[in-house]
Amino acid sequence: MKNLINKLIRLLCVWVIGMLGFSSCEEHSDEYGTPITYFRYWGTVTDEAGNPIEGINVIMSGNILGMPNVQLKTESYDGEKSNFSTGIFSTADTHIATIDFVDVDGEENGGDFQSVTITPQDMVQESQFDDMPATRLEYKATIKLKKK
Amino acid sequence: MGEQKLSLRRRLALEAYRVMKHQSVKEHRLRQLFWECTLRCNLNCRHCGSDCRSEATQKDMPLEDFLGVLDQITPHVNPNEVFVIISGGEPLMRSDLERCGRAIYERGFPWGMVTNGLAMTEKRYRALRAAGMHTATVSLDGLHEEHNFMRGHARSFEAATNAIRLMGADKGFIFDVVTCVNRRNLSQLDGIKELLISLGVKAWRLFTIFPSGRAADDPELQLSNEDFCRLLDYIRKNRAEEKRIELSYGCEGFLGNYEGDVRKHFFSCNAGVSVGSVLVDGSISACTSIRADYIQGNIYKDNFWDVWQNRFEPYRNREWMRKEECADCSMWRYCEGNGIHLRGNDGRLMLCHYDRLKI
Repeated sequence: MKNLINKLIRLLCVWVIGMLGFSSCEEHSDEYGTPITYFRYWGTVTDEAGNPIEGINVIMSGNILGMPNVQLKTESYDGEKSNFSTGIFSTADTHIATIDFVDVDGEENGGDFQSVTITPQDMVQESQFDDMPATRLEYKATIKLKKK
Repeated sequence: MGEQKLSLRRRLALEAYRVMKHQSVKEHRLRQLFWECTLRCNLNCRHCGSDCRSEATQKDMPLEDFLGVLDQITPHVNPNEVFVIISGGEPLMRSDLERCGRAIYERGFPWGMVTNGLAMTEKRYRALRAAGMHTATVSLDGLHEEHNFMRGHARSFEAATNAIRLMGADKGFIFDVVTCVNRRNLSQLDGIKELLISLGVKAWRLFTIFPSGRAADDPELQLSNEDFCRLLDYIRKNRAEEKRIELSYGCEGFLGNYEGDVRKHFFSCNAGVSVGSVLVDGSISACTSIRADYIQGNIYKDNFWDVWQNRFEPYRNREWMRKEECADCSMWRYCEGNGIHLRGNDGRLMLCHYDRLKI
């Protein structure tokens, strides 16, 4: 509860500062050091007709900050699209080798789909948020899977 | 500029920021951890402030000792959210830097480094990127002659610009350049800016000398108060008009009516609040500019996390600074005694930025 109140107070202060015409003063302020970067990889997984597919495993391989693989699952967030998202995390972009989309539940959830592998270079840089020195880079993939 | 009352708009924003600042102090979430991995350096800069009282014979800290600190921190933090900044001396002097970076990265900590660029080659750069280097900061203190004058090395400018060029050409790599503005390079800022833009730099931090270390007795490095205001005016103008590169003043100093206009945030000294450091001899401190007298412990006898949680009182409760010129200062509530690195052995303030604006 206390954390929630603190968060709300912080948000209110950020809002007030923004309304007064100053840029966001989040806690990642300019430090005496180097810039900080965070990444988010996200996107949608559908069949060839554009229908969302749930239950697809999204596996990011490479040496991602001590974790050999980051595994996600596509979920339907708004009932219309099957999204995946890593959330905000920090890694060196060169360390994500591949992103695999694998159907692990067979015929469930719309059918048995072929796997697809992409690299981060196949993704589109969707946005960049500069809360200097923390820069957030977001990369999006739009994946269409074929049935086996 | 003259001493001017803060505008109501700015004062309200500073009050809101003050609330956030005090929350941050209570939480003291570790966000940045400096590792002073070496005091060896391949340059002899006129303004070096890397604890200039240290002997060059101080050995590099073994990687394993710093990894021990990370292992102490890990149960208490999300390593992904604690950014390790490798500094020195000059980190590239360590032939095992890539091994260090990889080991830090494999424990889940993102890392970056501050460098003068002299020993940077393409091969080294690629190896550091492969070792997980997220970001970097390169020092460049002027155009050819002025930079080499500051750095005391005839090849320094060429090497620094080559390092910047490598990073600028690496699509997606985030880095910035820092410049120490002094009397010799103040008139060159536009020229430096154009050079940086041509090298692919998107962010440029400018700072001024504080009277410590080698810079203390070098008048050529100190800007007059008028020139200091000129610098801030330059940064403010560029932040409003220049779209190709973002300028900002460094992290120190409460800047009165420049607050909010020359940086993306208002002033706060985050040493000991979100910034900690491990110095080369194992000392536990905050940012590496801070004098030895404010050390809070040593990793060779203390647990870093215990020290972070239970000490750092002088950094988190600044009432002890409220004396002498700070005692009756109307800006105390927003400044709280300036950056702690500007406090001498006896606690006296060496430099007040707000005072410099009273021209």
